[in-house]
Amino acid sequence: MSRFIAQRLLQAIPVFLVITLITFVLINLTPGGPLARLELDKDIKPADIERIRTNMGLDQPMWKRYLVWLGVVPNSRGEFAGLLEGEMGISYIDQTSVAENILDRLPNTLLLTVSSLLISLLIAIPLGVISAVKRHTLLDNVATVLSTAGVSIPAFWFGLMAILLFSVKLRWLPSGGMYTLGQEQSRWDLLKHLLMPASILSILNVAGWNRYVRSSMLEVLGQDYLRTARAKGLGERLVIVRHALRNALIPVATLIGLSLPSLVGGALVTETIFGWPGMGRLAYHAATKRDYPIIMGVLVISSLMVLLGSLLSDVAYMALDPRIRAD
Amino acid sequence: MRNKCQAILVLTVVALMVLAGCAPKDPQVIEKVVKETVVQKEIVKETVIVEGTPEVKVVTATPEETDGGTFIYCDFSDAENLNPILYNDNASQFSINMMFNGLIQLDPKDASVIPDLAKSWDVSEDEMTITYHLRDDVRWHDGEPFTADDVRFTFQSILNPDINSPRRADFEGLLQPENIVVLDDYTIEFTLDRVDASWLCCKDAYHIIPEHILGELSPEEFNTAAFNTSEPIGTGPYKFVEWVKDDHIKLVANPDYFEGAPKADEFYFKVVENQTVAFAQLQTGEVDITEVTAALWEEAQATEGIDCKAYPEFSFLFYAYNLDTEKTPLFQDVRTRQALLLALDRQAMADSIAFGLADVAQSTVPPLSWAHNPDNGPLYPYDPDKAMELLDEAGWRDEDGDGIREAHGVMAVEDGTPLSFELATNAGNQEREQSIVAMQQFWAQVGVEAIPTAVEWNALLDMLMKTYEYQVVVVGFGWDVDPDQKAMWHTDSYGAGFNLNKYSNPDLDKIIDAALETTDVETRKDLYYQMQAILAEEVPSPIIYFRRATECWNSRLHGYDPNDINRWDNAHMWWVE
Repeated sequence: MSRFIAQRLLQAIPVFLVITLITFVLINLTPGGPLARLELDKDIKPADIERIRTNMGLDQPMWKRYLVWLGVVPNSRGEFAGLLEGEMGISYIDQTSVAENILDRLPNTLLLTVSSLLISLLIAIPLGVISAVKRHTLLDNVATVLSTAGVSIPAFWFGLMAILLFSVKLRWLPSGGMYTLGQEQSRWDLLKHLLMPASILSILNVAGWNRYVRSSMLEVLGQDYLRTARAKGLGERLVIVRHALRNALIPVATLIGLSLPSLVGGALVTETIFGWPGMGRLAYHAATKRDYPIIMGVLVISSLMVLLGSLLSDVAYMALDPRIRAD
Repeated sequence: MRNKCQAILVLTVVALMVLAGCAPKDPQVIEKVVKETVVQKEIVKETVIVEGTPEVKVVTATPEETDGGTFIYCDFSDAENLNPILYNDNASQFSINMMFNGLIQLDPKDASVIPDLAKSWDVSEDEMTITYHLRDDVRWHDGEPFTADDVRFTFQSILNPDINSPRRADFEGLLQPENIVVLDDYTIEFTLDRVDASWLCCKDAYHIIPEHILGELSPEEFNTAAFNTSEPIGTGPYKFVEWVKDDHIKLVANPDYFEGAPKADEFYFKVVENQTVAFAQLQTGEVDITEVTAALWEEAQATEGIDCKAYPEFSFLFYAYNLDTEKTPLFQDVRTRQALLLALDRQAMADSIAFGLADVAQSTVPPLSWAHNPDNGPLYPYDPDKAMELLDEAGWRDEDGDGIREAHGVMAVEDGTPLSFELATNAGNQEREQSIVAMQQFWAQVGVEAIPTAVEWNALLDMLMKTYEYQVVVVGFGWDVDPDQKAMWHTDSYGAGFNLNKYSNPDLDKIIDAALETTDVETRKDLYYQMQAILAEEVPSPIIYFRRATECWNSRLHGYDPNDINRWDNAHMWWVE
């Protein structure tokens, strides 16, 4: 097992480097650039834009800038200050540290996405089990329709409707942000602000999980060992929960590993509607303003998450299912 | 039984699919053009009869001014940089204006220059030396006294090529750093290289930054200083507390402000990226001031507890004919350009696309400006018959019956070329996308084929500023308070400014340059009237309409009066019930 993990980690390094290289090239090739807004301002002369371009190091060739970012080639001040040295640089827009920007937002996003994942699973697993056990009954059909609804209706519409209902009409919940401005930041305040965005986000995901749990359960319910358990005299509920569910959850657990990157990537639409200061908005603004250092920083985090997530999910699968360990 | 269940199921799923495809409602056509409206709450009137006099005295009781309180301003994007000489976006502007002051400011009533940090100023005979007399009672937020050194430092920083100030180009060939001379602690003298009509109103208006904090920094340190994002220190009515990125900026009152301590206690700048949510927050009281999108304007005005104002702006929507024959020969004849403009019902566009919150342009100078010629006749009002006449005259006729005119003896155009072109604008901007569709329809009615194309913003910028590969494009722009329009019409502005279509008229160039070389208002007015007349004839880039901004704020906030010139002149007097 440890050999397997070590092997995978070693493989991950070149994959990661290639990802960074491809992204760097792609974002530099897109039209526009961090100085595009300055170019449109009638008060700014081209000579000034060139001057700022040089000051920011943007006049260097692309390959050189990539190597500087990586930390293999020294920057304009002669220092090695790239990824290999643990530096992610500073934003083109306000010159604040990329690492700081990300560390400020990451906990906010994780709070939102992890809460939403928990809510999704809390709803989806029982729902999926019941749907599978009571297959083709009214309950199953209603659950199917509702989950299809959840996945089809656009998040922003749902979010806006929720705000109009719960905030404007009923005044039960605040309509955005993480804390109420002008007041002490209490846990209770945070929870009130978290409730709507996390719920909206989970509605979208419940459908996916629900279907997955249902089909996984259906597969397990047809197995012979369950018939043996029933023959032994075990009550139906124990059969389902202790034997069927545990086996059915194995693929689900591995799926959770694969959804790790989306936990970090943030839910852009939900964050925008609810004014949640998270990674999704950071990445989106960086992309539209062509803030390359931040884009690369967010990318480093997400690709690490993808690589880690797939590794974890494979390890989990092997750990939970003894049949797989043979390799 | 199963079939019935299944049928209901299918219907429900289909209904949900229809819901899922819901598109936003198309704008309704508003019949009345909304004039500048200020909706204010009724003030309670009391009738008092004073004994012994024949008159009836009417006493109006206004809500009592109270001290303290918090108000929250909301914007659609976060600020970028709180250093007044480094920022370049609108969102940073509001907070900066609450924290900093300039030498002068503009009077919102008529855009005239009034004192701020400078209590008076003298202009020399040759108009090239300006001496400012500064206030001696101003302190920075950290308690240090404000002096002429701060002013010198501010302008020298702007002029420093290693500091990333986007404002530096304003001073090219105008001011040298050694010509900023401190005469004493409260007197400073600027000697310009030439006369500049926009010096007093606009070029000296930059907010002043503290020399005692930033003076020792190298340019690189200046560009990345903590001052810019987490520790700004100014002289203004409010001082900085914190900035949580993408969420809010918090400011508190500066009790030592030189014009008097602010009435309110705290100010928040909040980021709400969605217009519907912003309006919802205005209704719940989670924000106090916000721009309201035109689609929600009617509802906003009808809402209790909210004051609303639609005020004219310097920004406008226009389209440009590419006049570079190497890119397209179609628009060389002025009659073609005039005819195409006559074929557009711009009033209808203002009514339906801008919800009536725009004024059709009768000149390139808006009525908001002192250089606007009040005798400007209506500029090419909608007249498709006249348009067709002019097109015929210019040689565009449809002889092959396909509904599109071709050239028969048109200036610079090969015979047989159809009057068909691409009409581009930036994707994602609803106003502009709707405009190109409307224009296509208007032009189709006079036998002209326009092909609407929505292009991604950065790609469009490339087209407009680098490659010039377009035929007709619709974009927006905005003037400064000073009526100079060199950026769009001058020959030199092609490639270096905002002259998108290579328009060149040497006579107009001379007029524009002359107007910049004097500060005499009457002379300039005369020259700008001439400029308007020439542009009205040549219409190289016709302006469709000037926008009105629509803003609403909670009635409990008093004294706030948004406008496009200067709304912060009384920021310290805004009070909250």
